[in-house]
Amino acid sequence: MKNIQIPHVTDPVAYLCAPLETDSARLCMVVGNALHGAQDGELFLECEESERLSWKDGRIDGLSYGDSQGFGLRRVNGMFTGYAISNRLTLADIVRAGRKLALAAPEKNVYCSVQYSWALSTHYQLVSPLGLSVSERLAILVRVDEYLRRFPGVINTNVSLSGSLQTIMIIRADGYITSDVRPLVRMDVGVQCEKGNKREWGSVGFGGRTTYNKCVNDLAWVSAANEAYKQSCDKLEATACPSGEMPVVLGPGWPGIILHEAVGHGLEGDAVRKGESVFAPLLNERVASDRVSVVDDGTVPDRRGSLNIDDEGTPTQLTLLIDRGKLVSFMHDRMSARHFGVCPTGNGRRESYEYAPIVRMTNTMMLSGEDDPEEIMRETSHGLYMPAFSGGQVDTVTGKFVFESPVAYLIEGGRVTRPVIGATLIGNCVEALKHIDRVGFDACLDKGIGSCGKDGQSVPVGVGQPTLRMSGGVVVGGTEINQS
Amino acid sequence: MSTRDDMRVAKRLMRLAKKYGATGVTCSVSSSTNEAIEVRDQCVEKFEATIGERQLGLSVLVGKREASIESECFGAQHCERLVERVVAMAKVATENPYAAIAPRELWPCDPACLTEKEAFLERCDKNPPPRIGEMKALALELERSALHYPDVTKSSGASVSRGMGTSVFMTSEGFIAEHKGTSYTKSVSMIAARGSEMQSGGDYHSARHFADLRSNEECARRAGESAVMLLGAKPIATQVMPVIFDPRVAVRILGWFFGATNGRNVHFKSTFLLDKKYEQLFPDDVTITDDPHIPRKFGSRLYDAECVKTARHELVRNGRLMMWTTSMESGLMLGIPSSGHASGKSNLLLSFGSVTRAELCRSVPTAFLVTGLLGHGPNIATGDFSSGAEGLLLKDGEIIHPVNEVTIAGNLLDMWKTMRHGSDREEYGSVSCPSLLFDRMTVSGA
Repeated sequence: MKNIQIPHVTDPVAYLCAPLETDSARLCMVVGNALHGAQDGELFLECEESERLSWKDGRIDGLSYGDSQGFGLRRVNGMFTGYAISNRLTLADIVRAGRKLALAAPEKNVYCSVQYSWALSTHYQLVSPLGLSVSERLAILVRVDEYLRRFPGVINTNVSLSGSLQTIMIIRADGYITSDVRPLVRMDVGVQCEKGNKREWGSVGFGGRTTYNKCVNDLAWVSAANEAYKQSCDKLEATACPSGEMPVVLGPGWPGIILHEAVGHGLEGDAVRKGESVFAPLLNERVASDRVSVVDDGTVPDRRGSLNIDDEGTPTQLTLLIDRGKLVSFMHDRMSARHFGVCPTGNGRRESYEYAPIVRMTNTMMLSGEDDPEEIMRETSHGLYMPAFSGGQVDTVTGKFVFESPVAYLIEGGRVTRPVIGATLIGNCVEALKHIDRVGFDACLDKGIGSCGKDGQSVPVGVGQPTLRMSGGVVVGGTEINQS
Repeated sequence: MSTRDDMRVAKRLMRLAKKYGATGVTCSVSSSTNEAIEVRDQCVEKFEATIGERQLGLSVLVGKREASIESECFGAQHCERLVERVVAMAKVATENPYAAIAPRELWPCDPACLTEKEAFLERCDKNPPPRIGEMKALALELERSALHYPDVTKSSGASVSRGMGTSVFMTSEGFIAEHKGTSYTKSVSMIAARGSEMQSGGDYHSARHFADLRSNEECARRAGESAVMLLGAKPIATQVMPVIFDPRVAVRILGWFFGATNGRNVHFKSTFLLDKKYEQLFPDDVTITDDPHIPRKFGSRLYDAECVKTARHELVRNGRLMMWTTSMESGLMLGIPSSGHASGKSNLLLSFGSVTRAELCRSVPTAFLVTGLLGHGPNIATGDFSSGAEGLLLKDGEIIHPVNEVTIAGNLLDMWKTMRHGSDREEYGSVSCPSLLFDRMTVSGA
């Protein structure tokens, strides 16, 4: 696979300055003037290329390519944020944006420089994934399709491959320039099986900040295809899920979505600052058993949720949020860091130049504990085993969260028995954390498919955890009334 | 922002695509501007403005092979390279036997008459837009009103926004359309507290015309009410019981119904409505209409994304499923004409019932009135539905206590067979629906 050296990868600053017909030094001056009197702020310049190829029903189902470019100028005075965008990359528009924002926020402040002490480092290759021709990508998808159709009961497949490259440059009001080049790829493997007159789809995805090599590597797509097939078959076999409060054993990796919703959002500095999180008054308090430690880590190599710098230009880091059961930190962008008098943690993110940055997660993970995952299962006399979720959401004000699972499995007498369908899990953050009584030693991140939505903006994230058990504190919703 | 410039770009893209070998082309160029003000605790917290946003989209066919492209870069050289690229992509794609561009017979009218024919839709508010200062004052007053609601203790903010967009759309069959639209939104979010318990609630409204926005008074009342309603909420015991959907969540059921009628889902056998055309899904007093010709609504249009003319359709008449919703492509998959739904639903409406909401609540000895759903939708392939829910526990129509941290589950087909609906009505997005009563669903709590 070719590793193409293209200008926006080798010199992003020059590449992004080119359409503006200027150089970075002059651009710094323009930004400095435009943000004169601002307490904080920056110019965020972005160009992005993306492509998608999808295969369904024995033929191409979608073939597309897109590019976008634009800038966002942010002006911060106290708790006020002014944000102006345009996708005309001209100095005149940047100047116009500056004037419009200055009118909206006439208050004049001294620029508040950012303090942090860790160095910039890179956590993924600065490379474009977009080097494969349509035919080469098609060959990969056809191979997966042929593999799946050999399984009994398969009536349809849906395989897709997406790739994108985001190139950004950030110029802060104090003239500090930083840039990043962010590849992202993703493969989704879906298969539809039939049994009698029932049909069900199983779907598994994976990806990361790398090239399509990751998808082509035999182990990656084969294990995704096998898992998708098993999911589809289990859904066909599945019976109605019981309902009520019961112990729940969550599998490693992707079920970490429960942490992301139940804990992560409540620890975002903006929700805490505004008093809209149940965790706001709990800093330095015990919130879970001492088996539980949770981090947000933007530095995990090649992962979907990783970044070299956040979208304010702050280098990312590993932030310890819960340390052996004690809440020790929140996540901060520059605004919440200023409010709390701490350093920003590299969590200021935005979906694209069209949005002002807000506090977002990167890779949020519970660390390994000491329990044997097989022991955890054996010790559970009854309950539900949930190895996967399709999505979830949370209300950080009340702490209530909900998740849905495509297929779950009954635990009877310490063993996984039959698949059940339609399981929804609901609970309250603080309660759920307190009920985690077993934490396995098999912590891992998900395979690279997470997207998190907040305030109308979506960003790619990673979630992870070990096998763990909640002895209670959550309610399972299914159509069957639990007889026990 | 000029539609003349956008038209020029679109025509050039069309010419270039044909030059590089495209046999069919669909092209769109759109521009928009937007301003929004957010206030919190009576201070302006955010001001967002779009100085200029422009986008182009191009879909090409080479025979039956297709590919598409989107871009925000309008440089002449870049555009030419994009066109070359998309045609090259199409040339190596596999054939889509259902690919087609709408011929003249399927258009709503001669393109030269379009502007005149569309005028009744009133997409654009011709009045001068409110100034930023006026929007700020409106947002501040909205927040103040909502803070006055009893038991509301804190504001999460209020916002007002205005936007305008223009768009040019053309196909290689000769269809040309341009139009302009305005939009305004208003939202407010409040927190109610009692002791250490907090609940949040809010209201949101959007309209094409500024004067059609819900009043501050009404938004404030709805936001306060929804925040306070859940104070003291607790779960209920797991049981099978009647469930009433308040219109604000009932509208989602209509949306799911619409998704299940999608021609693509029928073709791929991934809808629970498969083989149920003309069957009695609902009681015979239920009619569900999709009407694309209601003035000033966001969902209204004379033609869809494939430039096929739209029409008012009864999707369900007297409880019976009457049709699938199709684009040209999904219509071809099923061997039926397009129903003009390439852009999705337009304005969905469920007929008025004959009993009031209060009578509906009193008609069962006990019920869970759902006012909020947490989670995604049903499994469209099976109709199975399971979701987090919150609302009120009712006995003989009287509120006993608010409920949260429960899930509700059921199967849509079973639920719809004995569904009863009220004479109340609320509109959310482009869906208008009354309260809905379902005989039995599984509610899981403690």
